[in-house]
Order: sequence, then structure tokens, then C-alpha cells
Amino acid sequence: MERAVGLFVTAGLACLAYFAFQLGSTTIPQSQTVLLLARFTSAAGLNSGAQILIAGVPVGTVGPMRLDNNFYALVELHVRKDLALPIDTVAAIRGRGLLGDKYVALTPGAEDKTLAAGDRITDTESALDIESLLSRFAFGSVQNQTAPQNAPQNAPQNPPSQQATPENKPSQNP
Amino acid sequence: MPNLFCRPLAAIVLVASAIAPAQAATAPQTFLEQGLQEIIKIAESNRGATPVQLARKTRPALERLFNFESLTKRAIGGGWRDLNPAQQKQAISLFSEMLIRSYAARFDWDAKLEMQLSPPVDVGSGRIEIPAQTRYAGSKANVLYRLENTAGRWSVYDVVIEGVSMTANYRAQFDSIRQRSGGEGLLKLMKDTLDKGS
Repeated sequence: MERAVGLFVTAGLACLAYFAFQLGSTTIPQSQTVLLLARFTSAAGLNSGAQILIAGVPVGTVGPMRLDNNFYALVELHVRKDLALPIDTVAAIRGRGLLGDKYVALTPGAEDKTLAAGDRITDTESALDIESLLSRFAFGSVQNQTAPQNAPQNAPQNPPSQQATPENKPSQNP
Repeated sequence: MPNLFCRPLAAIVLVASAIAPAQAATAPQTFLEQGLQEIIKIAESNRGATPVQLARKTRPALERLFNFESLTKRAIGGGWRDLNPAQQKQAISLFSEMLIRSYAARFDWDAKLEMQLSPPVDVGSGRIEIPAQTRYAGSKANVLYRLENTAGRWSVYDVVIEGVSMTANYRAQFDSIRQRSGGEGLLKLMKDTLDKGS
């Protein structure tokens, strides 16, 4: 009986290993990829090893990510080297549903010049901060607090003195 | 919920623009700020104008701030190569008009835009990004202006609002239209949209 249980457990582990191998084998070998960089304001939820897709087709995997000097997320993308991606290709962090894994979606652009190894994709869309958007929706905007000062009834147009503002300062009606 | 996007968008567009003739020597942040101020000023001096009228008034200033050719090319993406030169020219004209009108339609003369620009971030290849925080009609939004320097001249080629890129958003929409109806179908759709709003 004990031997049967042992065999059953061993067979289970073998199946697990097989499926893990099968899933892992969908990853494109690094020798067939080229390294690109993409800079995002937020890479929240994106993990190293996540898929990179073009039109839903896997074309690479996400590598390590780090912070750059301006505190942006710099993400390594290992993309199939046979693809000639235009320099205006957009890299966007997308999710499979609200709770699904994050992946990077590439949308090739129109430029004739193409990205080379080590190039940086500058047109990016970061992960949407759903919680932040929902909380704004749930708790309302700041309109109610600012309305008395900013939009009195029958208020005249803003005087010109409110329009000119120095650089780097909050400006009104710029 | 849509207001979170629409209002800042309206501000932005009205945003755009303009620059002094000696723009090549102007710092990108000043260029952007002056451009935005000029657009708002024009819009405010045309209180009550219809979206079409407002679009007509603001277009010259917007054209100094935005690179509509680059913007259209990016918005259409891969489909751009399928268009012949005449169609590309038509696409730029239609898309820019569509864009300006859609923002002009959302302009609120009673709302006040507050904007704080952060220092530019160099992203390489003659491109920079200028992050901004805006408050318009009671809604706050994080906006990122993407500028490129072409032949010594700065211009805005994309605006990202709360993480959503304007060109990427249009590219996704245009891609599916182009696959269904081709480049000609895309141009027709843009033209029909404009005709409806006239």
C-alpha cells in the first residue's frame, strides 16, 4: 500500500515537472532575442519573465528591471531578433483582466528606422493605476472643495493678472 | 469617471501652443508653457465659439506647438506605409482637425486650469518628456508632454494623460479600423466624423 502511495506521488510530481517544462519551453531562448530597454513611469505589477506580445503573439520576455536616475522604471525587454521594430514602436504594460498577470504589448509604428540592440523604446504606456482611478471615482474630485473659490456663480472671466505665471510654478489658465 | 480624462484633455488641447519665432533657441519647458498660455488666451478671447470656430481660431497656434505630421503618423502606426503621399497628406489634415475639434468641444470657459510643469527629462534621440500636474474644472491629472527636436525646433508629438498615451490610444483604434476597411476606409471614417460635427 505504501509503495502504491509512493508511486502515485512520484507520478504526480513527474506530471508537474512535465507541465512546468512545457510552459517554460514557450519562452524564446535568449540566443534568439535582442535586448531593448523601455522606460515607464510605473511598472507596477510587471514581473521579470512576463510575456511580450505583438498582436497577441508572444515575441519575447521581460528581463530585469531597475530604477533610472529620475526614479523611472527601466525595463529590459528580450525581443525576437528577427523582428524589425520601427523606432516609434509603443510599449505598453497591459493586464489580463483586472487581476490577471501583466505583460508588455508592443505596437509597431510607422518609421522606417528600426530599433537596434540596446536601443530604448521611448513611447511607453505605464500600468494603469486602477486603484487610484477608482478611489477618485469613489471619493469624488476636488471640485467641491475648490468650487467656492474658483467658480463663483456668474463669475467674470479670470483677470489677465491670473494668467501670467513664472516657470515651474503653478499657473492659472496657462 | 470620463471627466477624469475629458477635462484635463480639454485643458491640454487648449493647451497647446505656440511659440515664438525664435523658437529654436527657446528652452523646451518655456516653449511648452508659452504655447499653452497662447492657446488658452485665444480660447478665452473667443468665449461662446462653436467647436468648429474655436478649432479654426486655435489651429495656427496649435500647429506651432504640435507636430501634427508626427502625431498622425504615430497614431496610424503601421498603416501609414499603406497610404500613398496624397492619402498621408489627407490623413494629417483630417486627423489634426478631428483632434482639435474634439478638444475644442470640451473646452469650458468657466473652468480654470492650473498647471505645474516639472523639469524636462531627456529620453535620448532628441526627445524629452515634461511631466506636469494639472487641475482643471476640479479634476487633477498627471500629464506627460513628449517633445522632439527636429531640425532645431521643438514640437509636441504625444501627450500622456494618467498613463494613457494619446497616439497609442488612437493607434489601437485605427489598427482595427484599418484591418477591417483598409487605409481608404480609415480616411473615410475620419472624414465622416468631421462632416457630422460640422
